[in-house]
Amino acid sequence: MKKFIIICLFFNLLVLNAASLNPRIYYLDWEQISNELKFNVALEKEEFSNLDREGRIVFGIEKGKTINSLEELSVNCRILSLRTSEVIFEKEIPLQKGIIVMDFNLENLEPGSYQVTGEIKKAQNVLKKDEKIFRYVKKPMPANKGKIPLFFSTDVKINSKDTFPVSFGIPFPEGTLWNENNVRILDKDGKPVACQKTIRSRWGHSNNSSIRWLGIDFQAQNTVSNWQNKKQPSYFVEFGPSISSPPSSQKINIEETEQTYNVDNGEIKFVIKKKSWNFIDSVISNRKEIFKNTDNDGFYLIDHQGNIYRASNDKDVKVEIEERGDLKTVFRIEGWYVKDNTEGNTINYRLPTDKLCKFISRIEVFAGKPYVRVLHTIIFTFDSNSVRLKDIGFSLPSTEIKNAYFGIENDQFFKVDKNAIDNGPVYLVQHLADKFSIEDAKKTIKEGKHSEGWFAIEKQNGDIIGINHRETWQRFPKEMEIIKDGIKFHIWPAHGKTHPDIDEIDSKEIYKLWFAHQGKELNLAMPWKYYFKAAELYNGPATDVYSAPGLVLAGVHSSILGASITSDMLVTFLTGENIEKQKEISNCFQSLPHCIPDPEWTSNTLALGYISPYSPEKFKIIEDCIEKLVKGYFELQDYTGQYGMWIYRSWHHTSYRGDKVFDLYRFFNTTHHYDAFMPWLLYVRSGDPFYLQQGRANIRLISDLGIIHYDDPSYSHRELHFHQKRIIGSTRHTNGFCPWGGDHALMAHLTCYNALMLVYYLTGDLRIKEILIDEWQKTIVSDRKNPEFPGATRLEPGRDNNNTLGELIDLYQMTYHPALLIYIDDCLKKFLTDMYHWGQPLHNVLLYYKSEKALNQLFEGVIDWKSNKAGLWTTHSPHENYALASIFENDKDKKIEYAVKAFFNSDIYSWNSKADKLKNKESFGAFCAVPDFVLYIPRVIYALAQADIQDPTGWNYSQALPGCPGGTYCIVKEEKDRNFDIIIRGEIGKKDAGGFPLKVIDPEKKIIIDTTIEKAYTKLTVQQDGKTGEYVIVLGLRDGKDDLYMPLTDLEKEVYYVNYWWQSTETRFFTKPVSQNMKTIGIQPHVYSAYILSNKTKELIASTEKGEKLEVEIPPEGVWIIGKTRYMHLKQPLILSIDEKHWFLPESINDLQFKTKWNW
Amino acid sequence: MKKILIVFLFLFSSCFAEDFHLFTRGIYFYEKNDVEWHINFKGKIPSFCGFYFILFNVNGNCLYCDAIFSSDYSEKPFTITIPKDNITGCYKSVIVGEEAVFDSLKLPLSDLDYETYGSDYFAVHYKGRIYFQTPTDDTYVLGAYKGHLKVFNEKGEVIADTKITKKQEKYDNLTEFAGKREITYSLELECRYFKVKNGKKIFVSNDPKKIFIPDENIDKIEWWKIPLLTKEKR
Repeated sequence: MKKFIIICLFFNLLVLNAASLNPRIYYLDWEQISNELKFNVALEKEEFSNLDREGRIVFGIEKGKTINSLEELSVNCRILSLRTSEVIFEKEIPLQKGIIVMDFNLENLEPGSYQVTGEIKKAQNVLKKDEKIFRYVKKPMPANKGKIPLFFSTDVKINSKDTFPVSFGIPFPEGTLWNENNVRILDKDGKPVACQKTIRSRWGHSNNSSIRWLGIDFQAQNTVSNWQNKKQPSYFVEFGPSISSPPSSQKINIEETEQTYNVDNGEIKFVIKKKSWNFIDSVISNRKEIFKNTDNDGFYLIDHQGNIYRASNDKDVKVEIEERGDLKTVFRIEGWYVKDNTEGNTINYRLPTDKLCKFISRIEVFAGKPYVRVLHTIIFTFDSNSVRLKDIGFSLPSTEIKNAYFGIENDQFFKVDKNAIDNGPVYLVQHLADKFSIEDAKKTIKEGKHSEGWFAIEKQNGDIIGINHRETWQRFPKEMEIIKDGIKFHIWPAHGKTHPDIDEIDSKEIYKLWFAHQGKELNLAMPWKYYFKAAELYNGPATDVYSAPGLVLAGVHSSILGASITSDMLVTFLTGENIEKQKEISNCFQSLPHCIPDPEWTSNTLALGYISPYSPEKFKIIEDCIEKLVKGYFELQDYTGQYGMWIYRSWHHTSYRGDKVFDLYRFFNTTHHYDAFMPWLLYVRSGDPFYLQQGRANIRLISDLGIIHYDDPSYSHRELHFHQKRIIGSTRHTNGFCPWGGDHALMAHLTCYNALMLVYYLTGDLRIKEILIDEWQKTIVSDRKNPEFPGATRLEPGRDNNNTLGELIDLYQMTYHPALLIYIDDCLKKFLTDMYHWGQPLHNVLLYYKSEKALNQLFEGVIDWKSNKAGLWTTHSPHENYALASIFENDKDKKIEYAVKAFFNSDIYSWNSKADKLKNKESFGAFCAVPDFVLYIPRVIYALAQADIQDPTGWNYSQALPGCPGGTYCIVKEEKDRNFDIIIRGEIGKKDAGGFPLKVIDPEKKIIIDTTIEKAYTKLTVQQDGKTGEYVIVLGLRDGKDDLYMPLTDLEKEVYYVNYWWQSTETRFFTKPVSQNMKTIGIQPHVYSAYILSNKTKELIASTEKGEKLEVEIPPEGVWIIGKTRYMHLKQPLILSIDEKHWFLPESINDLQFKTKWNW
Repeated sequence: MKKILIVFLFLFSSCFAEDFHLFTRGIYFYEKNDVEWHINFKGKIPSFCGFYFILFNVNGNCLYCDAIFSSDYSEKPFTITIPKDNITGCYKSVIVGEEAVFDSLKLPLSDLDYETYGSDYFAVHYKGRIYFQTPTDDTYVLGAYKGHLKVFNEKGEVIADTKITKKQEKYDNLTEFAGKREITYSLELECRYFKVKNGKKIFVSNDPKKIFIPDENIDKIEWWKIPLLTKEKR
């Protein structure tokens, strides 16, 4: 007590002016892993504003080995106003734990800069000191009301009297929405519709911070997809201080008892048992019980020895409400599959074991609906080489079955009568992606291509119980079985088979991992023959990590332990309905209707950063290119048959060789170029259902198999390459040739957790949220002593550190966990010295953290890109740097210049021709470069739009002046006598090579200037001289020494007369025929690419990627030549200009001679 | 007394001898007279997928090709018997698996008089002296990964030493010597990994009597294609 009083006094005495900041100081645990004393003063961000309301400073302390206890230390914190030099806060804080968090109010701060000084002290000795500066600015309050149209990607095809649940996310700009109650949904007639809201992210750490992402659930009526026809929205989101949402007419009521949750959603009542959890039980509809479960039903699996493990056997199962609302409530059930007749005491990764595999099941209940959605995740806890599974199933008992139905292709169903059911099981097995068969014990009854993913029984009294499973044929094999006393859905079929006609290691098949997609048993051990086939295909038995066979060998050594598989199901309980209703509900569920807010709105909120809405009208060439690339990629997967529960849908790293053969090197788990973010980014800016479909499947694959969810420390397995064991939340790298193998990292270049965050914001998927927070974040903030932690934390300067920085800034904005700021602080320090671009670091540092130093380095870098200071240009995506420079630049001319450079540096024309190849299923590579290009293009469009540039090819600044050996002729035309300036911009005389000679010859052929240009930005003025006409500027430029930019003058006509040229940037020149005889032109870029575009249509006339000769007809209206090369050879001299306006046919060329002649 | 002690140590040295474990790309056997001979895998196999073993002769005929499953073979070895078959000469085997497998398997594998390990890259789990021969009269460059090595001639004289050469290639400390075929050299290692540079290989053993230079044709066989000809047992 005495100690406590002393501490309190100590605190109070040392506080100066603390009242204005009203600091709240508290401690958090921080595992001490450093051998040295480590001290971070970490700011939440470098610039706060009045919109933030609160700020945060975190002190992170690791005492090292020489200090016995944290309690020996204290931290002195001082905040100094740099404007007034007044200390506005000072306090000595004794240490209890490794993290001290100080949250403080901003409202009483004066705008200006503040210095935060932290000193770690032992007694009176200062052991370490760290300082940070933050700025406080006042911003105008944004509009606090609005109405945003919603765009549906697919139709909601439901009976006009019915509705279907929709869950979506909407962002708001900072400072716009402070209370979720001030939001509602309106239908197209302006009528409010009941909705349920969940805050998914705020703009700051406090509950007083404004809302960044809001999740909304509502029930949509029959709706026509409007993402393309944006003029006819069916629903709107409206917000404002006076807005409130109407209550739901039907509510979910839940009564909790010691043993059960009793649920009544207005349409059905049922029980969820807290012990012996068997899914749901005692379903009552219309006052009669239509479904009664047993303790032997629900989820189960059977091992290769025939032992049965049931979810209902787990005595310690945890059943809880995860999200509660009137319209939707989610129950979360976590437990183990426990072997029949055991106590569930033992867990072993091989047999025998009492417990085999964990599960996390989510039951989503919707108000007024005769169905529940079940997202069932199985987490594998066994070794692939030790355990196989005969069956993974979900059974529901039933009696008095009259008929059964299987939904099959073309919106049909296949009816099975009572006799057939009584004579034994009848089952539909989706054996292959394009083959199902309905069989009974003796024969095949029907065959076809695609199951529709549902089956149902009709009882004697007409009640219908159905199970609907999403993406059934895509995720083959699957089985739906009707037995005499119930129905079973098999996540792995009980009646599966092998397909001897498929040569699973043929080069067209090997990447489909057939070993895991066929057979009577699920055997997840990759056979050795896969390695030997890879060795044969690559003509050598390499075993290293940088070879395809070496990665396939890692696949042979991989283990499923720690990976998961999630099944998305809807279980229907219909009474007084017919099978058509079951079909209708299933069809709706298959498409899983989703909507997004108007992309224009999303873009303006900046919640996703600087991205543009899909703009095919304004930026057709760019949008077409993205579409061809990304859609072409997934269409190639369809074409090559990449389906199945373990591979649907993946992104690959290297190349497609044509004829259904892929390079096997780094084939799976490619999150490492931020690939997983791509479909969602493209979806949120367009609403295109194609991206939604691919993104949903891809994120499920990554989140299930590409992230580790479980570890068994007694399991000694290590990955072949880098020898890692497992740590929860870690992302697999692409070095394993299967989605569950390979090395892995929590923080490194290879992670793409950002995609998961976006998915959570847009869909509210709680499994995804759980992986982010309860797996990934939990490990990085509280499992740092895990022996696998150092190997999974690759924070060396460069791409690993920088990708992590971008990811952590995003995670912080989702969870605001203070410990993340310590990592961010460490990563930022390294980033500022090595800005190697990977993921979203610079974008996030500029937009959210608002680092002044990073911005200055960007601005310096775009001016002096050749110096590559701080590694800014160590990037696959130079267009990102220019786009960001344009967005942040205030000078209008520079803004335009950078935006256009962003466009040209994206290499759009080259990508356009590559995209055509992909779309046409020609050989293509490398896939990893696609996200490098695509991810930052929406930012380029944003920059172009912000700079008001519709057509970047008509831009007028800072591309390289063509250099001509022996003298570059620039000819300008003065229409009216006046002074005009020649401004030399660029770089001159690199490596102290001195200047270059320049002459200006007037219209009377008199040399009026003869000088040497030593410095860039030299200005020469040609005086008003009583003459008009052509002036020839002869520049003695030296290849490799002088890189100048054009135009040189502000005259309206300026051209360059060349018979060959070199250039220091990518260029775009306009040219026209110099005479009526000139019908064709010939150009040849040295080694690299060139494109000739029609001036009329701006479409491509000819192109080369590899320095081939291009000879084309030149129409009288001229053409554009885009060169991405250093040197350009010409068949004939050309007169080039920066654009059409500047072009003219000079008479002076008749007097000019080229000193060097070139052969074509 | 001293002499007695030496004799005692010599006689019982095998009782105290350290087990020899080595990563190598090829294991070569020489059957001088036609006999039934055996390959014994002794040790605990750490990889859950086991390892793959291929044994073939100079003609490319496969004598064994299969996965050896993960188990503890320390007490009871996994034995492959090669029957008397009127064929003698050189055999080669390849183990495909992770390095930990090589760390576990006790060498020698066979009960033949000649068994040697040929590779351009070795990971050594053994503290004693290692002996080797070069297949050609040529200059051999050896690199010790993050460590050092010395080469001795038959007289026990140092003929190459990375500490003296002081030449580096990335993480490897290099040294070189003029190799003569059929001369047995020895190595003293202060490193776990060492390489033979320039695409060459040497043949090593911890027992100089077991070393031989295999028929060079056996290395021309594309052994990785053999398992595809043999149906895998699952």
